[in-house]
Amino acid sequence: MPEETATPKEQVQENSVIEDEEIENEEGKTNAGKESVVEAKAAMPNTNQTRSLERKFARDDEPYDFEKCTVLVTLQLMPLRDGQPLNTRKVLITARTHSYAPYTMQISWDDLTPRLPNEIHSLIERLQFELVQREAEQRAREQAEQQRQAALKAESEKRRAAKKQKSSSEADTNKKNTQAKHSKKIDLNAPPALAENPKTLSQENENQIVIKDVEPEVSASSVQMTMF
Amino acid sequence: MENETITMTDSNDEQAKPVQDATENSSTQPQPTKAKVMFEQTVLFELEPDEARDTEYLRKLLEPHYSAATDAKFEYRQEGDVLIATMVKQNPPKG
Repeated sequence: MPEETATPKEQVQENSVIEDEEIENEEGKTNAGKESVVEAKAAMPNTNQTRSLERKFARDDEPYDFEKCTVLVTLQLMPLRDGQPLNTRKVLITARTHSYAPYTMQISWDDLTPRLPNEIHSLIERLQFELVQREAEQRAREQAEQQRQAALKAESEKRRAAKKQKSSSEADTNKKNTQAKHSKKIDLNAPPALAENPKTLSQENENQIVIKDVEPEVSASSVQMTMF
Repeated sequence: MENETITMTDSNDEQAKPVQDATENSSTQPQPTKAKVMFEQTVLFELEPDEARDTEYLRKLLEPHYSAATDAKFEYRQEGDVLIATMVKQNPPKG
């Protein structure tokens, strides 16, 4: 239905006008009508036009059409700081598209909570309910992690000790071997070791025998040779 | 002494620095009555000065909108009675 679709657009346009007015109010003009709003803050309209080009989100590629781009509206309940009274908890309301700086407003939680829709209340109740359980889970995870770290540390120490022991025993063995090598005495007067190959030995013996048989001739020729 | 920039880091020793400096400058500068949080020349939030001095609070405030806030530094300067905290992105590690 065209009328229904037109209404939200008009509301958006009205809201944007209101938002612009609020921005102007920030600049120094008064806005007495907003009692519950502690401070109405928003980025400067002119500086807000510049967006960070370094960031690249999927939503950056979206068209500059309110209906076709992601509009991110957040409620950020800030934690109470030390000494801050309970009823002064701050809520930041932000709205943004693409990677532009968000428009922001601040309000106290006490002022905002009665005006929140049931859907948001139910989500917040779920969070509150689950916080206790999540804290227990977190502690269990931390304990498990501590135990894991302790086991890893013990294991690494055990390995280190085993490695140290192994290296020391290896060093002892090496030391003994070195000592044995150094302590081995060589008797220079001892006869040379026997040849290991028996065939060679027998051949050598045969040769020797042959040489003995022809020895006179050889010697004669050698004499002759020397004579010439 | 206007526009004096004070860089705060996360270390506890240095966190005390702006408080100390603010005390030293108290005779020359008025105590800030409000604070602005800026990033890339844009005013993002207006806070109480003690909130703006608390860098952890600033991180919690900015992280949902700027993931760089986790590792960012904050530079402080005072203009009149306004304390201005500027988020400065840390360069990504080289290599």
